Amino acid sequence: MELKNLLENQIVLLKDFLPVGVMALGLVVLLMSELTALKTRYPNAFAWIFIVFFSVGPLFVEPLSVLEAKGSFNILLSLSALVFGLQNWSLTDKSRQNSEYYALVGSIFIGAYVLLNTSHFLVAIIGLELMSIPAYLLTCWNTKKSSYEAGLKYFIYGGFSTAVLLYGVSWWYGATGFLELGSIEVLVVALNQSSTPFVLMTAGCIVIGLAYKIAAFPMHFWSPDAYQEAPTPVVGLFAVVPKIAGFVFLEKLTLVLMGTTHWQSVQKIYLLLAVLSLLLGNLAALKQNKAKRMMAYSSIAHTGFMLFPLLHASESNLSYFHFYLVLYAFMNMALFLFLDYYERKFDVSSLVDFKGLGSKSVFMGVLLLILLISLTGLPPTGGFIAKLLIFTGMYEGLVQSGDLIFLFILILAGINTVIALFYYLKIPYFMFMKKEAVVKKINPKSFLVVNFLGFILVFLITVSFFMPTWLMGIINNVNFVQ
Amino acid sequence: MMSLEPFLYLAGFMFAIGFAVLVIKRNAIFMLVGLELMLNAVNLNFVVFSKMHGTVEGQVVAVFVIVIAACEVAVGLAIILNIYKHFKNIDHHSINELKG
Amino acid sequence: MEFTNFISYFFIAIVVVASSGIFLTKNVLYAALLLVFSMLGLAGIYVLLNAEFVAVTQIMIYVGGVLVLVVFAIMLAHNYSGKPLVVENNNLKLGLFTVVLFVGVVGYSISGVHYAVQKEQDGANSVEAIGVQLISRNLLSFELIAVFLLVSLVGAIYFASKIRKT
Repeated sequence: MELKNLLENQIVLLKDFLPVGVMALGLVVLLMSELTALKTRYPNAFAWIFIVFFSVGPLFVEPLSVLEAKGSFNILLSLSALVFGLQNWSLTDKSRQNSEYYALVGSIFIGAYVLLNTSHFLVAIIGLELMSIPAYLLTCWNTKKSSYEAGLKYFIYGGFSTAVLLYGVSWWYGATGFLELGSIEVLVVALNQSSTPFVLMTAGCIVIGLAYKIAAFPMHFWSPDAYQEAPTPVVGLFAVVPKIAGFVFLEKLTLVLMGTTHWQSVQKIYLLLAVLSLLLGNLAALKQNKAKRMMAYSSIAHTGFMLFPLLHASESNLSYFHFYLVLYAFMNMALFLFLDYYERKFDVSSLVDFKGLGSKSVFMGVLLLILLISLTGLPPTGGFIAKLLIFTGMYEGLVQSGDLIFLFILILAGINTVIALFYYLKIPYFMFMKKEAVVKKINPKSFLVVNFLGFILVFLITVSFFMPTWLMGIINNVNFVQ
Repeated sequence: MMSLEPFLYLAGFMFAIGFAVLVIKRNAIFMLVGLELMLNAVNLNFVVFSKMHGTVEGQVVAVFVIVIAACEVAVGLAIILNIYKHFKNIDHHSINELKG
Repeated sequence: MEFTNFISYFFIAIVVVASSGIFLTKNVLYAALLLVFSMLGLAGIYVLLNAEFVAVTQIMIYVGGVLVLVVFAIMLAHNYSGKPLVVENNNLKLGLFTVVLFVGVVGYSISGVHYAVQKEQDGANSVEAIGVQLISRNLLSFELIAVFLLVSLVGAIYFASKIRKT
């Protein structure tokens, strides 16, 4: 019968689901092992199970017929899972020896994986939800009064943006008749027949819905609260995994919108989002005194920066965009690793607490200094190259299209890099220039793994300054989204 | 059969009402109700377009959206009840420990 | 023909009245009950649009599940002292402005829409078609939603268990 044929076809396709299957199996294993005596015997067992399933899972990349997984941000995903697992393994904490904790984080990874590799709206929406629902709950993880507040705010904004995204998608489906973004030509023809205000409304809804995941301007309100209240390793994930997945999906959407005749108007939405995120992120970061809160605003500013190449998405510009995305991921993984280290070892939460810590642990202090220089975008670090490439791309845009928008962006981005210098260097300033009168308590735990991981990441960031072609080569060799 | 346009306007109206409820009500459960209205507007849109295009794809999406909405409510209520335990009310305005 | 038109407008009226009621009322419990009405009206519209499966799902999940959950939460999250569960409005004018603005923007922009395909559904068995879709083209979504349900249930139960402990 027809149904039997259908099922047989699906069984052939099932191998395509392998990465998701491996990760889903990981979830089940995690939750089941809560029932056994594993936890009491090996407190770190969950971290190991997590590492095994979630850093291996995304690597089963094959050219999938359903998911179109040709992208290799999957490797970054796997690396992020590895870092997260090791970080939690070394910084053992009672509240994190929970299978639920790892299961929720694992769900974020599954969602990010499907969002990275799909070009189908329905799958993307489920992927987004797989990332957001656990994120709300992980924000509340510390079960304090204030963390529930952050979780509630995150939930309300998240639900709102999901609804807006879905509304946009429904109109997209109505106008084009497709939920896939795969066949660009067909979509462009369909969209060209509608009026510009309509495309603006639809694209605006979808972009704003995605802006929430990448923490761009109109949907950024949740991010400082969530960053401040969530456990620090989880914040490292919030800053990296959903952001990359959201950006890659946004790029696919941009490639469709770019072909339409409405692009000139739709571009304005991107411009508005980018400029306002950049300005708001940097200016609000200046007056923060909590470290993680400041980093939340810094990450909003980075989002603004990463939106610029999408304004003029030529092939070279997109590869600059990927370069920035990869470096951004490295930098933020390392950053929250360091913040977690300082939080655990010296009980640091606000910027003033960094006073005099430079002399306590010189090695980590210097690494953090390099990292912060890289986040600002100064040589000799990879962050400089990444920013330089974005500037180059904008200059190309100026030359090719002659649009004065790009000149405006160049000037604005330059000014903002200077602003960023002030708040990023606050931490090294407190660390090295100020003396701490009272000796703070030092947790005697061993942090070797974190030290090592931090070193590797900062090393990678520095190497990509001296050999940017090396990283660029890797990025260009693996097929990204197209 | 009548034209499908009125249903689309109805969906737009519901979405706007849901949004307004989200903006003006201070009670967290009330906000959740507004969220549900917005998601239902989306569902109506999908079903109408499914009819228009003559495929069931839109209906499939609508079913998925219903599931997503149900999960969001479950998780949201878990958070709201914890909020109630800590703050002794769920007025969105008196929940303001975090600033900056 | 006339009769289906009449029924359609009847259901539309139910939904409009019920959702406006949610906007206007200050009582949380009334809002939840009005939400039931608008859900039922929508289910009627879905039946008129040949989407019986969605209509049944709507009634079972929303009216049977979600609304019960919401009413329970209202009971648990309010001190009942015999007084009605009135909540303050934040800014009614802003709300009205939002509605008008949004309806205006959407109404204006969808006047320029061009729908890609226009063919009437031939009244085929939509339940069967949905079933086939779920195990063929949307199999991945189907499996993912299962993972999603698992995760959100685990998370919700974990945090619900935190309510008891103090």
